[in-house]
Amino acid sequence: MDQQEIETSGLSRRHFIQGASSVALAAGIFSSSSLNALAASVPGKKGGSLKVGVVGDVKDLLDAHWIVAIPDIVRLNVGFETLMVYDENFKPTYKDGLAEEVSTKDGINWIIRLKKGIEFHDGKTLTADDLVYSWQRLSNPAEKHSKALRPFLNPAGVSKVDNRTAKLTLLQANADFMVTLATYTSTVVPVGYQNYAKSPLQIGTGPYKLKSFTPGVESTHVRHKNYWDSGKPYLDEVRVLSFSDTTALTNALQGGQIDVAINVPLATLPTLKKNKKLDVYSNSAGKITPICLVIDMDPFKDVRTRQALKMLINRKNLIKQVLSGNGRLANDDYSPADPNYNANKYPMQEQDATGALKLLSAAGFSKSKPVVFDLKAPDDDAALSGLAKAFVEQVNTASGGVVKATATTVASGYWDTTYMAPGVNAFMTYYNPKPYFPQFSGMIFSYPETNFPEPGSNIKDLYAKALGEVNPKKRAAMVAKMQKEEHERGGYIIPYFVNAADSYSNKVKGINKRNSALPLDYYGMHFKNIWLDK
Amino acid sequence: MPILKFIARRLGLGVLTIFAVSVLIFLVTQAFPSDPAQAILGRETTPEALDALRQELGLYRPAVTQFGAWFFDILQGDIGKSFVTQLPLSDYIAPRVGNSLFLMLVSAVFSIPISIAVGAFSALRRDQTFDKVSSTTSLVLAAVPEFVMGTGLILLLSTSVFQILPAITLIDAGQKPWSDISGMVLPVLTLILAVTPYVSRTMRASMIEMLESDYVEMARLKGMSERTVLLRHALPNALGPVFQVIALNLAYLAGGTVIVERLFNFPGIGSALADSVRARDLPAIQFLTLMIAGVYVLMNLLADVATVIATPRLRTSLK
Repeated sequence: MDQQEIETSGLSRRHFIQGASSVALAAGIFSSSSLNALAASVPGKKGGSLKVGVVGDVKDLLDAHWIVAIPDIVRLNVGFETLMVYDENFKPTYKDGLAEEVSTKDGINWIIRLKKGIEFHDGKTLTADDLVYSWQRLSNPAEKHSKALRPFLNPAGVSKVDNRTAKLTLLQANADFMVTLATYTSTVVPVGYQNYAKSPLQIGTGPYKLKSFTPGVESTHVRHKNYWDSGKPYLDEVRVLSFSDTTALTNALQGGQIDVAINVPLATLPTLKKNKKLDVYSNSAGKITPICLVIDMDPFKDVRTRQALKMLINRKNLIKQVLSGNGRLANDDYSPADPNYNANKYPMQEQDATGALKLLSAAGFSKSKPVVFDLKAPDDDAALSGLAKAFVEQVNTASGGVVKATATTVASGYWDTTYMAPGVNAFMTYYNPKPYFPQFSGMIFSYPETNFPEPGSNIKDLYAKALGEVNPKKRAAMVAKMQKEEHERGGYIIPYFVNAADSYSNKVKGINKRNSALPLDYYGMHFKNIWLDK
Repeated sequence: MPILKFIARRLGLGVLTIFAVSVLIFLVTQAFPSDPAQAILGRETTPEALDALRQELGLYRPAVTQFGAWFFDILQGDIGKSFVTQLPLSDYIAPRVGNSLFLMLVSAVFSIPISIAVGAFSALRRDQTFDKVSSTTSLVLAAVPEFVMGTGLILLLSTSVFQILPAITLIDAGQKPWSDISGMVLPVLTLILAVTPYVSRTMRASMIEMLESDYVEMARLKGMSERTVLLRHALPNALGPVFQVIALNLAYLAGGTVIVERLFNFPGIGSALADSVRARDLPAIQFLTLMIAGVYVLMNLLADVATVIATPRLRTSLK
């Protein structure tokens, strides 16, 4: 799951920049000035207060580098910015980021130069000292958020070059470190920054600065007058309101008490779409809700059991049943926007009960000795518990009794007590969209949910090598090998990519409806592109 | 003063009840499946950090010691810190108590007179049109769960048919509960509709019993005006059982409106309790449950006292 989104890895992008010269070229194409000029030419009305609703509770927190739940992601994004930002193909770009240029020659030494004239909320100018502090905080092994970054960077590897430039020296080559720079939790904070629990003063460079915050109730963010992206932001303030559940959230949107509802249930989309006062934005960037089968536990130790279960499901029907059609087919794979997605061109797995039963029989299972397991799901996400139930029903029916699975919805506490707990062999998880390598790293290192790979596998070495490989073709070949092993022996069943849906009043303007890692195109790019038409 | 003695005795029993409830609450929260330290730190924590936090929270102490410390602190008015936010619980709970009390008061101010009037009038017009209509309506309302009623009202008055009232209550941190009056209309209406049927049905039954009683007949035979018979003789005696129902409903309104509060996103103690259970915030769960139990004890006490005062034969039988 996505408790922590800091991912340090990379992948071979078509646009991988081989050395500083092509970085400069990319910087030219995406120069902030030309794009800002374009954006500024779209007239937006100034003023107004935007009310954003999101399901949250007393656990809501505010830390520029760490999130637990969706409201934390929203609040982090209002006040803090990263060096680079993904475009719709998950390629890191300079537009909307704080970096003017990022370059490397060897994948180990990364030079980052900041844009000129960026001011923090308290009027201080952003310098390389802040950059050094931010990356030292991000990579500090004593901090929770450093986990994924730890193999790549420690605080000693962060140094200042000049007033606007800093250098990151990685512990191992990572040709696609830009992905980490563009991860939304890799924000830049001023020297001395502490999270809200330690200091209510939350200073960042973002378009709105924090005025008040009460966990489980609301936060108010007011316009940053000296924001660097000229002419923006438009609103006077952004208010993030916490809701106890999605029913209250969607009611408030339909009743007009809030302008934006983040993460509305897919089942409500038909109603919301009918409402002429509302807009619905369904993002299909590749969110997944995998069924995790732990591969070193019975009955999944035998690879044939895993394969058979993948063949027993009808993916199209699952999309209809669980997502009301709001998703697209996946082949137990992930990161569909990645250039190396499905590198081996595997055909989509159709339901094949005969083939599956052959495998199960070969593995020693029959009606009298069925495959028995209990699939656990949390009660706080209907997409997860719904899939668990539908999956179990399908495999039981299609196998004619050779599989006897059950699904259990665990009342609150799932993520503490059940998820990845010892002895639990089948459970649900979810991941927001991200490129192939960070997703791989998440599933293997940060959250080893299925205990993949099997003993003797060299996939981890392959991953490390591929990370350091600067030649895109060579990397693609390595990725293909990795995907082959995952496809043939993996413990994840991923039947589809889930659309993430948000809805907002049609008075809300300026949202770029593109696929993005975060809802509403990074919440209207930290809400700076959003304006209210009254 | 026999009435004071009666109150003192009931208060003593109330304190005992609360103590028993507090033991029960403590035992139940101890039996929760997840470890508070684990819940706070998440699963990425280290065993050392877990150990340190358990030490800090005093989770290694024997259960009796933990209970003693907790109960003693509460007696001294210190309700402790939230496990989750590490902030004083009083900051979190106090405004919510205010909000819930306001919601209860407004609902009670409307629902009690209405239900007493409707119940009494139904009894007087027994089996006539008004009685039949009000009886059927209150039966239907009593049968419909609150969330269905609330959702129906939202659909009718807020989102679908008419869009004249807010679907949720927006009371910001630091604001008074009456800062969003229009936002309170629907939750109050839902609660009135939820509470009124019970009270009016009880009132009707009680009033009918009184109207058929010997002393009312006696009063009529003595030639008293119907008005005097009703107001002086029947009504006070009929109110006794009704006070009990009112008290239970008030206690319910003050502490248990979890569903209505969640539906309307109302920042009261019901939703606070639901939130705390989700977050495994033990101090908050323990205090809120204890407080709600206290409200029930207090309301029952008040109802008993009111019944005794209102009912002449009970009042005179006190020794």
